Amino acid sequence: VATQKRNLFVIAVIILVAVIILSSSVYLNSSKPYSGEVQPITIGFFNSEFNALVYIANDQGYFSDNGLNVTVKNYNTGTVAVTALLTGEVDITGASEFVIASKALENANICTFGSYSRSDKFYLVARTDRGISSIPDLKGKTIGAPLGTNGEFYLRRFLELNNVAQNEVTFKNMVPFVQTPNALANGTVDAAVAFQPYINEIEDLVGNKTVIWPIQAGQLAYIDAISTKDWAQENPELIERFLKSLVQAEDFVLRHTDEAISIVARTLNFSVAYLQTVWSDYQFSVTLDQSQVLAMQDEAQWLINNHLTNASTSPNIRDFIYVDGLKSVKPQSVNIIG
Amino acid sequence: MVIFGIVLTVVSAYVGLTEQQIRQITVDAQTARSIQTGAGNLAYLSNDYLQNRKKEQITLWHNELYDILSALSKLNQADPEETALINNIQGDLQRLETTFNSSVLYVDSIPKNETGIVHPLLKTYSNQLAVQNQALSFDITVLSSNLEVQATQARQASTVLVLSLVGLFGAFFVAVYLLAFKRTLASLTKLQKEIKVVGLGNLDHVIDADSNDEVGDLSRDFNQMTADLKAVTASKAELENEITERKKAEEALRNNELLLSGFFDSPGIMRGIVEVINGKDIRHVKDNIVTASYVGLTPKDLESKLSSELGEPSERIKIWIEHYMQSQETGKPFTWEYTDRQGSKETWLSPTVTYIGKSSEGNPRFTYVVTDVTGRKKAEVELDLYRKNLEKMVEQKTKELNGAARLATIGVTAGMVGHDIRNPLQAITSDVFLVRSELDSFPNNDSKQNAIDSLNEIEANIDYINKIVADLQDYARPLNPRAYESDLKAIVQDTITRQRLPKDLKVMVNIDEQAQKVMGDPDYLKRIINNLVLNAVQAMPNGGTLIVKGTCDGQSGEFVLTVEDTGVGIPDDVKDKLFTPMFTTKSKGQGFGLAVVKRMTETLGGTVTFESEHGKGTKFIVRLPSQRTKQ
Repeated sequence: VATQKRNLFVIAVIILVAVIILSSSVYLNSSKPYSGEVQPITIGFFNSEFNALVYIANDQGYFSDNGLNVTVKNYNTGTVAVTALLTGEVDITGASEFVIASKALENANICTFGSYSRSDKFYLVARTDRGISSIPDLKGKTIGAPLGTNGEFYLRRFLELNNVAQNEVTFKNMVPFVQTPNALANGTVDAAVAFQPYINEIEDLVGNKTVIWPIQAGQLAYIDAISTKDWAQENPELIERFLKSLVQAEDFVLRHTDEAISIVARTLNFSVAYLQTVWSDYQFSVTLDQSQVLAMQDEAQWLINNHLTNASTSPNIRDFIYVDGLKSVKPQSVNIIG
Repeated sequence: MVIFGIVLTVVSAYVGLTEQQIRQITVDAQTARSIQTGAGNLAYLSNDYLQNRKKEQITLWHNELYDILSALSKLNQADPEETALINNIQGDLQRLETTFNSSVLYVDSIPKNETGIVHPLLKTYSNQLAVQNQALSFDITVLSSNLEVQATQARQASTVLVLSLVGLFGAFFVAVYLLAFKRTLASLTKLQKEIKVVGLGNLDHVIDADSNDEVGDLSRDFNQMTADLKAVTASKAELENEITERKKAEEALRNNELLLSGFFDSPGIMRGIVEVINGKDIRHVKDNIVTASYVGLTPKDLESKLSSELGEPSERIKIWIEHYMQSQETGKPFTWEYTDRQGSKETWLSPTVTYIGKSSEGNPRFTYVVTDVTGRKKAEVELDLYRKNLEKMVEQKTKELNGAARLATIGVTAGMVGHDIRNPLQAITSDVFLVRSELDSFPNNDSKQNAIDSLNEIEANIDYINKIVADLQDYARPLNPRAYESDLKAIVQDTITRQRLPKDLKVMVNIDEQAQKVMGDPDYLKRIINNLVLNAVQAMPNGGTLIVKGTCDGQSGEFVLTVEDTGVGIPDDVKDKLFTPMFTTKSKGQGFGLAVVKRMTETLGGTVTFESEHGKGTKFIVRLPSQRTKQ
């Protein structure tokens, strides 16, 4: 009996040592939780499912875990949110790459430090009962669009690629975007740039008298986390903690998609069914991709070419990208040349 | 050990899975790299097509797209991130294809003769394709990077696992060594030692088999094997011991056999074993040489013979059987004796029979030992005779002792009486002398003569009383002779003179000159001579010749004194008692005279014998040693 007890003791000690070694290895390899002072930050953006990572990070407490006390503000568009950023109303905002390119042309004090979603969600919804059944039928029609946003860019590019001249149509600003369905329904516009869930709303209002074309032409829309350059320089650690929170949310989305959808639905007061339908239109990943740089360069040049900006030369987009934060958090997702 | 085994198995399986995962990731990474190359090709082909409008590039572009999609479908979507990236890439490719096809349509719509004209939409398509190619490239790069990271992590994990496995195996080995192997080795070493003990031939050695492990099983099996081996064969040592013991036993048996044979056939004692057959006859089972010789056979010939066949009288057989049965009943040996006559020879035999059990046939079996006790029996007869003689001798000696005691008493009495008697006798003697003196003054007449005769008679009786008293005292008192040279002739003449000799007695004295001087107490010599002379005178009441001689033996040098008479002689029946005190054939006398002679002669170292012939006379011979003479 004594020998058996001794044997069990030796085995237990060996197993314990092995467990301690493995646990130590796992612990050393794992990221250490933040233990410093909690910092308050304010973020502002247009409420949409493309901000899913922010909602999930907030809901799952990743911001808190990384020492961030986040306040969220809602704006009608990303462009408005960027304006609020530049006025110091918020610390970080979410907006499309087109907004950044536009502001870059103005040499605004902004920079992106990471895209957290990509989507192919913009459509042009036209009323057939207004004589629009094909793209050339748009000529002479009034088209609603959120001017100053990437929605306007995709619309104009779409018209360009389909040989509809800019002066052959009338553009009507649809900011705030929520007015779009009613504008289409009441005939204020013949066609309008739309995306879900407004498309469904339009169909509900207009019925089946609509025709829909995707207008992004295969080019994804990037939603970036933006701050001022000054703030980024002053708060690199906050940017890292913010990005880390988003990366954690990214992992949560990948591994708990249904729960992520529920969180977003609960946050935006959307139906889960709707989100499940559109979820595949989005790529929730925190990246800094050269393709975004190309897109922004293209967009900036397009704005210049179409005289939609006062600037006459394309800016160096690289000057409006802060890569250090994401490089330290998720280096494999940084693919910026230069 | 089980826990360790499970842990090792789990870790090993996990290592295997990790290796498989690494292989899969490696394949995926290679695929991702090929997709990455394909994406670059797509970008080149689309750009080349838009720049140079080479239609063959369209086919190549689609082939490349197909290859990428095909490769993409082969990727293992083991991780949600990987799945998301693949979905992104597929979306990128789909969008790229749409844009490329749109650009192709656009290019196709341009008249061929406008090759030199710059078309703004070509730039737009080119930009779109560039953005999408870049996006595709990015997604593929991320996928490839993730796969590389996964591969690296998997390799690291594998390395850690392998190291852990090695460590665990090392720990397992150490634990096994410490817990089991060491114990097993110890057990095996112990088992080896114990097997050596068994191997040396000690098949009685039992190996300790307390443990419940394989060594314990082996030990038990070995013990069983040893036991089996022991059962079928003896060990070497045992065999040697057994051989040695057997040799010793055989030697001892031979010695015992010789001993028993010597004992069994020891001369003079008949021994053997017999059976009583139905209470009527005796069968000889085994007899020694003595018995066989006694009946005139060899021991072998005597085997199984019946006593009746040997001519033994039925009456004697009956007696033997009775004694055998008596031993069986009492459980004790039985001994008796009898005589056996063979011709004129009579032999006393003493058999002892003992019951020793029954034969296989159920006949009672006995041992017998017969001893020839003829010698003892004869000795017993002689002893009986001796005993009877001894009784007589004892009786005689008792009488003698009684006489001696009586004589001793008499001696004591004589001493007292002599003293008391001699004093009045001395007074009487004095009175007789005074009376005789008075009578001298009386006139001679008959009265005077009668008075003188009476006085003579009184003096004679006084002498006789004195003699009796002297004899008694001489016999009884301790003798202590004095050594004086005596004149034998004077002593003889004085003695004879003092005797009242009859008138018809002739006295002849002849003392040789060599015998005249003799060493000896003169009082003793006077007493010897006086008693012998008196005895001779009394032997010749009717007269005769008294011859006294003194000679010296020329050979021995002894002084020889003879006193010879011619009297009646001594009867034969009293010759033996002649010197016995208080033995007398005379009416008057106490029987002390010759006894005193003998005692005093012997006191002087001499002997006294006599020669007597009835009717012719007697001669007493006194021999005194010459030393006395010399002294």
